[in-house]
Amino acid sequence: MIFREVEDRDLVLRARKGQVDAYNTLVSRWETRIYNYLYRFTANPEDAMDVSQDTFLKAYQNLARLDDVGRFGPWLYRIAHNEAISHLRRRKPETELVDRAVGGSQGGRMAPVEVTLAVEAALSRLSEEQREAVILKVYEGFKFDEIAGILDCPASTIKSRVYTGLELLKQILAPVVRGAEGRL
Amino acid sequence: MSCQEFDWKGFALDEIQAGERRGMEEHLRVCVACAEELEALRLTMTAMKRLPVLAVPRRISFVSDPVFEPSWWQRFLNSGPRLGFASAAMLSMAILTHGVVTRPQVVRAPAAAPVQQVAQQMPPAVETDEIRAQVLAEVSARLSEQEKKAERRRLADLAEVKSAFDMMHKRMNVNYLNAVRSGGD
Repeated sequence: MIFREVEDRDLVLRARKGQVDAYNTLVSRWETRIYNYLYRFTANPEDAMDVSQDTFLKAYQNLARLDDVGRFGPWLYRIAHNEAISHLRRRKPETELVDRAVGGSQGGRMAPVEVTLAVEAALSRLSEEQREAVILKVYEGFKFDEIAGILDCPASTIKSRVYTGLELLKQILAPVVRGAEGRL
Repeated sequence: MSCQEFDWKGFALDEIQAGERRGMEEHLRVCVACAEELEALRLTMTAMKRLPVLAVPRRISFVSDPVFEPSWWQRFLNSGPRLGFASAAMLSMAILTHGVVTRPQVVRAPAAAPVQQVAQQMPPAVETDEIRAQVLAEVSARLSEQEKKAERRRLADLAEVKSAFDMMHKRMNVNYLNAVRSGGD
């Protein structure tokens, strides 16, 4: 992680001087994580792709405004978060997948693929704030204060969102996983 | 310490300090309810981690995007031979400045005479014929004189050839008479 931060810092400095290759290296290094974060947040692959493109475009255009070049990752997530929120506000809500997946998971045993569907459905049941905080915590591995910096709100609020979201996910998913494991 | 005071979500999310964590682990050995609570949280986390990491459907490429290409002045500043270009540009500017400041005086050529004026200066057609006749007469006179000289020269050459031939003929006669007198053929 330390080596990565050092390399990111060097790449950011080179990209600021107009070296497109350096920025492309940063893109290839972060695109999978950003895309997956956005996919889990938006629950739509096309939206995730579009927002990923917008995120890296905006990041390049604002690279000079990055105060701490060693904190490129959290800064990139912050841009992705803002872009995703703007994108979701323009998009109409989609609940079909949620109803179908969750409805099928209640009370029954599920295969691993179904567990995946159940997780996606359960995540979609959370509010946007809860879902994003949980994703950044569970999947991206940020600390509460780092998430607070990304989402621009107090760490206590982030902790509350994560705990509330995790409690809801536990109520939905724990019985499902027990059933799937029992069948396997 | 009651069960309600333990932060099992923080424990599962690895947000608990090491000292407090050890105390919670000791409590788990004696409390079934808390152990079940933590087990449910871990199952939830395990299920969440089953979501696959998806590959990006399309490569996010920026090299071909003109937005990300450096501007012309950035490319110029980052280019190797920029000093040479700068020197050449300064030299060109100096030459141009010198040319503009010390512009040479333009010498105006005399205006060409109007066509009508030239026509007036030309001799009339009758005078031209007389001149032509004079030139022809002069050329003819010189030609006839040369012809007469050549004729005189030719006659002189013929006379010399005839005298040489007569001399050779006389010598042959003398030789013949001498041969007869000496009794030969």
